[in-house]
Amino acid sequence: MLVADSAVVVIDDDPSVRKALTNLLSSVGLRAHTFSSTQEFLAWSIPDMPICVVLDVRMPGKNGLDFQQELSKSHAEIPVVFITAHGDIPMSVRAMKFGAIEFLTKPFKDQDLLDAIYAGLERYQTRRDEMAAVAGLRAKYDSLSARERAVMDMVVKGQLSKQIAARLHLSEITVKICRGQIMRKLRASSLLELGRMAEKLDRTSQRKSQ
Amino acid sequence: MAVHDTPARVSGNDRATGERATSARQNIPISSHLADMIARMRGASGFARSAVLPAATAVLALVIFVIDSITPYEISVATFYVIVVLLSLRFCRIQGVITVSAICILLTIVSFVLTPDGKLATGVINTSISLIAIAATTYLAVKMESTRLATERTQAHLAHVARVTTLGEIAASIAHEVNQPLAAIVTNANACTRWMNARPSNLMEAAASVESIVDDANRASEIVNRVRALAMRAELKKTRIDMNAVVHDVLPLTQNRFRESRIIVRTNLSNDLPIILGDRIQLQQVVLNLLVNAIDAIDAAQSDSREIHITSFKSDPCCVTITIEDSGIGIDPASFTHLFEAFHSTKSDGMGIGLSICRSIIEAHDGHIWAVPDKLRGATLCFTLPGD
Repeated sequence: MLVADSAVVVIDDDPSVRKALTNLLSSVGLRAHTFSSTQEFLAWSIPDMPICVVLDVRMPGKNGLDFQQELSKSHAEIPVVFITAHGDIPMSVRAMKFGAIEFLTKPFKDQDLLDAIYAGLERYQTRRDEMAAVAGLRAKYDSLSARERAVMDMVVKGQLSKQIAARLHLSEITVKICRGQIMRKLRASSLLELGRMAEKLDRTSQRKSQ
Repeated sequence: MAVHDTPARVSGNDRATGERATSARQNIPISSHLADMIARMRGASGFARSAVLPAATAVLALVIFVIDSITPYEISVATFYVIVVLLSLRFCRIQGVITVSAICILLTIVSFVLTPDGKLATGVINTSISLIAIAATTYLAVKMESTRLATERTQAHLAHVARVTTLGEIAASIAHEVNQPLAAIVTNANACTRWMNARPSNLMEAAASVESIVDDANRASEIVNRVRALAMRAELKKTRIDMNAVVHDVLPLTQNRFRESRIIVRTNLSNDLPIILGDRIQLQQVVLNLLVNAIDAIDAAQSDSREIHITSFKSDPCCVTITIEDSGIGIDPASFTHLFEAFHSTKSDGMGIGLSICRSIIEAHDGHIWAVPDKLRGATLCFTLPGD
């Protein structure tokens, strides 16, 4: 399902490891893009398809762990699987803390790596779906007028139309019309759904301001 | 095969050497060896090296005693005992110095009693001053000696730490280098299996995978060869060497450990050894490693018999054989076959390097090294080098 239109990025400074991983991935029908350093990867234009990065920890230039941290800021949706010839506990803890899918020590079991890659691609898909949903929601929210947004904020805080009208110096009927507009524009079928949408918007805007 | 036929050879030659060179047999208890070695290590002259210095010190003490006893109380000769204490520092350990000092104090008091004339009050004051001087000198001497011993111990410890650290780093980097092609081999082999198990199986890709495996395996072995070449880089500086001299070079270096572990060293070195062509420093390293192992084995055994027996003899044809026998814990039969392999160690803090270094040095000299099997007590390690 995911396999056909997805890319596995392998970043390892050792040519024989790169070649072997390409071989293994193509034996299960996965397309591998190999890079000998993180700089080389950054120069590449990342295609718009599910991606999983297989990253070596010890590399010349920037090491894998630092790179993962950087990548998690610019491309949070891209999952990372670590492979290393000499891993220790602090390293793996740091990798997992920044959201690595798996931390494998070389030589690793092929199935472990493939499972991690599949899990990564799946997570990428879920994240992308989630991001698309939020983006759509934000576009709808942006189509609301200033008054509608103010009314929506108070509605999701559980205030009654009468209270909102008093606070905003509007007639109760105007508030009710506003509420109808909001439900229509955001395509919310119930007050509960509207609340969930508001929460999602709130969360992503908070994440952005961080 | 060499291991099995050697014990008989060793004992036979040992006897022959014993008969031929009984005069060369030295039975040196460590305490007398000690004065010798300390003096040599401190760069003292030949005067201090023999028993002359202790004798001279004793004579000096006696002279001071006699003069102090016959002169009146007003003449304070006893103060000169500080010279005796300071001299004793050159050939005694801390306990010895304290004993000498105690004897001096006793002699001072006896002199005080024996002195026939003079004012008693002056005598008491002078004797007290002398006693304080002797005690103070002893205190300072003991303090100095223990500081020196501590420094020596620290230096040895530091050297060990430095060696282990470097080795650890080298080992980690070699492990990383070798692990890369190994990981590639495993991955390629897995891929190969998948290509073959596919329906229909893709034999072209499977063959390509096998080819990659061969390349990676060759690369791994290249890395190993490079490391070996690196280890052998130090070229041998061969000179004409008397192996007995090599043994004598090393003994002072281990003197401290012998003393600390209360080990008696017996040497039975043959006088008619063939001269060999070899690297003196490296051969010293071999003897040193074997001696340190022997000391560690004795420390580990904690038995009453604490002896190391070093022999050298001419073995056929025109070879030199050195044996180092200890009364330590002996060699576990299970580890016998791995004894000279690198990174195999029976010591809790060992790196498993010592004997493997010994073997590579001895083999670089066209000799061979082995341990005598089936010993009831302790261990015997032997090596043979061809004569020039």
